[in-house]
Amino acid sequence: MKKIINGIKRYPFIIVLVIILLFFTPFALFSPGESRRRAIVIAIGLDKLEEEYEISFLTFIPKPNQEFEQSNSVVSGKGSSVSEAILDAQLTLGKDIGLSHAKTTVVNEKMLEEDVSSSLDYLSRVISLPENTVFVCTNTSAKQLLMATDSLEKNLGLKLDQLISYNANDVYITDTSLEAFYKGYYSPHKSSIIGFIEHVKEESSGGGQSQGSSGSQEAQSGGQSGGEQAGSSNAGSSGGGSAVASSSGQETSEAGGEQSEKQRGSLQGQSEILNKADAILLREGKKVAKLDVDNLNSINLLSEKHSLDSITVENVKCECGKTVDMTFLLKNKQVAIQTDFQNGVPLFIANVSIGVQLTEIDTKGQEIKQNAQSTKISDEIASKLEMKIRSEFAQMLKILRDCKADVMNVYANFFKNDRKKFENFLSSLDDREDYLNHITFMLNMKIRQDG
Amino acid sequence: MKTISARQTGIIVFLTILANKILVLPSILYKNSKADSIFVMLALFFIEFLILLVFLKLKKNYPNQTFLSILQKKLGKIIAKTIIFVFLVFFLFKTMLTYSVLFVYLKDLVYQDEFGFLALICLIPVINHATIIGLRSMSRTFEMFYYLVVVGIVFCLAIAFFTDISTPILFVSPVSSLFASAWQGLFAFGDYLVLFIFIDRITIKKGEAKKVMLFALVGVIFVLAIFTIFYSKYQLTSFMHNNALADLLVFSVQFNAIGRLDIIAMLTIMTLGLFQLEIFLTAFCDCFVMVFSKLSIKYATAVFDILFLVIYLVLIAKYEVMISLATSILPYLAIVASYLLPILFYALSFKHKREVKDEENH
Repeated sequence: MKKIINGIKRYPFIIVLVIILLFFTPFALFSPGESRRRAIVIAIGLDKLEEEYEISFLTFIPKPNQEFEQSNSVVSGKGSSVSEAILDAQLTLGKDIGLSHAKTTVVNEKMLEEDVSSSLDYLSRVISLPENTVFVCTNTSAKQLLMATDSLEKNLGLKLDQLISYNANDVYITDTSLEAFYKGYYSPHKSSIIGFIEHVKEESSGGGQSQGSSGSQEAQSGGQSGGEQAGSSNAGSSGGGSAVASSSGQETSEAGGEQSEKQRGSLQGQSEILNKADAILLREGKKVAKLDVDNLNSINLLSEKHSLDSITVENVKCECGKTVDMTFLLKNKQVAIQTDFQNGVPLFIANVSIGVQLTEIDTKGQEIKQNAQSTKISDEIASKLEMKIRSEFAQMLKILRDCKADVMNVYANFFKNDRKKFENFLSSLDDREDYLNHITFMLNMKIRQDG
Repeated sequence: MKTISARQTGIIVFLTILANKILVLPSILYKNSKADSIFVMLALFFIEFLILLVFLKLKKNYPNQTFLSILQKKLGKIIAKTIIFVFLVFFLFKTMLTYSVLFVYLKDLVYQDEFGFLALICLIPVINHATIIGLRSMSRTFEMFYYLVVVGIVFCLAIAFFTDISTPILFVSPVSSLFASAWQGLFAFGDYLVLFIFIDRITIKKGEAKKVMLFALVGVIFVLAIFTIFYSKYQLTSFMHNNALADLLVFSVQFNAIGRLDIIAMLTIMTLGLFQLEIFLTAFCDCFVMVFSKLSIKYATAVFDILFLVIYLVLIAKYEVMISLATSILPYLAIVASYLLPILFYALSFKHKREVKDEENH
């Protein structure tokens, strides 16, 4: 005993350690789990009602189950400011809000009529909210989208942020996170792109009997929608593909039938998420245009990363001499951007070399015996392809010029390459922000066959 | 006397170089001088290297003497103790700033609730203990964790390259902004000064000075890499991000599926913060013992705890106040401690011929 006491005397920090252990161990043992005190938010929805904000949280509810299903719920709160709305939601939930795992922030389209950054101010100040939170807009209300998202996950096993990440990586190319929005917002051109997810709500007639019939209809449409979703990955340029999930739930006819049986009692209407990979063009935080997949593909023409684009050329003569429609996949793009000034006029020169691969021939009912892989791309086909790409690029450029929105890094390229001349050019303009209209764009294209 | 090797000295230099520069400083400097802050950092690091050379020269000429005795011999007791007292105040505020930045980082990203009491009860006894057991044991611990810290930083930097980055736009700020930035960042520098305090406990054999320089160079490269990648990644929104090293990991949609990668940054920053606090507290306590020679290191730690609690918790109380102090008033202290005094030390590093003769005779 004496030895122990002497040992403790020699190392008094053992006493400190024991005191700390004695103090904190009971707290650690008897305090409730963190999830009881804090709600784990995985998506945030923000709606502006007439005079107040409504914030909705898609929260993850940790509970043991044997189905490997994640159970979520949507909780919302209202207030004259976003922070008040959050407090209201906390009261409703009976828990603190933890935003560290929030990966999606949704606002409704109406909010984009005004500068949305003022509504997002609270979120930009919350340090616990990750910067890579995907920023999305929806046509109805953010709350409804979050509710439909829950079923998207249940039925298709697809999380909203996964869907958006797919769009961001393969369609938008430019980052569509909250951080990227702010980057664009604070840039000289004040423009950015955010994702758009369409939410369709069809009111059913309500009541038990009619719900039953709607359930069976849903089951049928579910089969179709599943097919559409599967096809959407290759339908980049056509814009026809859409990932559809109904909150009544359907992936296949059978599964959909079961799901709708389960949820029949709880849902008043049918609600669907339509992902057409559209995007919203923002300037000074306000919506200035809605971009479809073709517009996005044209913007991404100048990005080497982008490969999800296919183009159909109509009425071209194939090697056998017959007139057909041909669809090509654009791949292995090489892009070199140059900037120059000729007589004080800025030139934005894009040298694009595109590899194309023939993927489909629409024979229009004619009998053609031709191997698609060995088909050579004639000068006529190459010229028509080029024309089509150019015309789509011109259309997109017109939108950007009209909106004074530079999402192709034109400003940054000129600023990096020829800062002084560009500054002089800008100061010579009546409206400095209208520089896109005064820049000449040159698109030098080279189309090559890629196996 | 228990001394530390050149390698351990180098690791201390490496750790202190990273102090207060890898979290909030890039964001503070960006407000004034945008991405040109990298040039400000380069200039300040260049001066730091000169100070390191002054130290090495002083060490070469006075290999076994304490810092106080060198000063006393040349300048007299009162001036020597006054200089040490300036260092004492300098390291007290350095510790406070390091604690403040670390505390806010942990509060924001790990704990989220107020946990001031918890942080104090965890950190203060540990850093007190490290100071009391001595520089040698502390340095051994640093040696053990050195590669862990290096891997953590390299990981954060490497992950940043997997996301979209573009070269930062340079040469956009006027010279006045660069000076304003340099002024704001001044108190985050002056890290090598701890070496002057520990001078008698450092053993640098012939040819080992390069080793110390190499560690310093690695530290500088890391800080500059963090600044460059941070500005490349965030560009115009750099002013919004207060935790540079941690934020390098999080801004990427591609990594959303992986989860919270920033836990790597958290562990690295926590380890770094703890070690830096230990070094600065040891420097403070050594200064205290030099000024009040009759008191032991234990009294020094007790005095630090009291001063820390009174000044930091009662008078400063807020992170914003601490940052504002560090960027407006404390640079005056930094000018004296980190620039004027090293010039004096440079003058002192030359031995008079009489001193050399005396030593030879002795």
